[in-house]
Amino acid sequence: MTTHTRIQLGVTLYSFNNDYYQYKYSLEDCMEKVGSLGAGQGVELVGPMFIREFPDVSAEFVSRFRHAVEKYQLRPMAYGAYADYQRFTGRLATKLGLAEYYRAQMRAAHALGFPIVRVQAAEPVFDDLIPLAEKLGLVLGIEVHAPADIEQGPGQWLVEKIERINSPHLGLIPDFGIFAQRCAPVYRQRFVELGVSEKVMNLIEELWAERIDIPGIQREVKHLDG
Amino acid sequence: MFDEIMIPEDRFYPQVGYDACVRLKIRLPWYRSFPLSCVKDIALTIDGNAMPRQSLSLGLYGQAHTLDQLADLHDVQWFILDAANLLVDCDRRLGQGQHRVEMKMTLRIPYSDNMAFEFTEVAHCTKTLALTAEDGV
Repeated sequence: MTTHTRIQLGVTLYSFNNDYYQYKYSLEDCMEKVGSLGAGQGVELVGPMFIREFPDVSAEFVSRFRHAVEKYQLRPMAYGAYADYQRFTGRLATKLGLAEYYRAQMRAAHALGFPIVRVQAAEPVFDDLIPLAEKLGLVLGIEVHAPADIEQGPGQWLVEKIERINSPHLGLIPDFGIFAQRCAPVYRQRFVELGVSEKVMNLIEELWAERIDIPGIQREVKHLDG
Repeated sequence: MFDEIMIPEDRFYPQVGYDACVRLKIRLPWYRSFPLSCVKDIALTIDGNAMPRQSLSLGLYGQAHTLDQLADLHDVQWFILDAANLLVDCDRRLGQGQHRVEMKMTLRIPYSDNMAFEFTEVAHCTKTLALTAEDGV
């Protein structure tokens, strides 16, 4: 008998990062490994990690991916999309450009059979993307990363915005990082090695624990350094 | 990310037809593809000598780009599994044998939605590469 819970675990193909980068695992190898956990495993694909034509996708890739989904009995769950605001030198992507960049990725996600597209906070274009999400039957999930939070602090405006738009095609995807209480020592060490002083490091950790947003942390650090 | 393996091979290739020019394979030191506009800078030393910036160019998909040209190439995706060629125009012929190479690649990770904040990553790699007489691929 199967127990149904509202939350099910799946595998992001990002977890094969090391072996994939070093050509030890192909896309198909990664998918085979996921399938070895049993039929019906949910899969997340990071678009620009696997798709050469990103933000678009080729018919050839769609057929490769769908073939592997069938062969290893997987369930495409989420497509990892990117806003890449600063892909241009010296300026941010325009609102129109950002919407088009996301639409290309939404069409790719749909062609690959994903019901969910994980997007980065792109506040100005959410409303513009809803019609295509409706047409393709996609749910856009906005990822929330530390130091943002969904109960208080910097993530709160997102929750308000999503409630205002009030569409079944728009929601939140909490990154597990939002549950972290403090920075991992290995990260701290890395920045100390890069030359960040203990004084600055301590202040950043303190502000981070208080869920101060990044511009706020920058202001305080500038203040401290004079 | 992947700093130590952004130079995937142990060798230089002679650049056919150019006596003082060599190339080496390089990878994008990140987990996903980026457009070439996100490659902010590449610095290289050979046996402790810093190569001038204008002596370096990046060869990808049959095109060679100077480092200054990269900034405008937002429509050329460097696919994460593809190695590029770093072409080095040395001012004198590089001797055959082993050479100590130090490379630094600065990437703009384009995630910030605020121009006042740029997320950059600097990847470092030090490696000994061999230059042999045989022609490269």
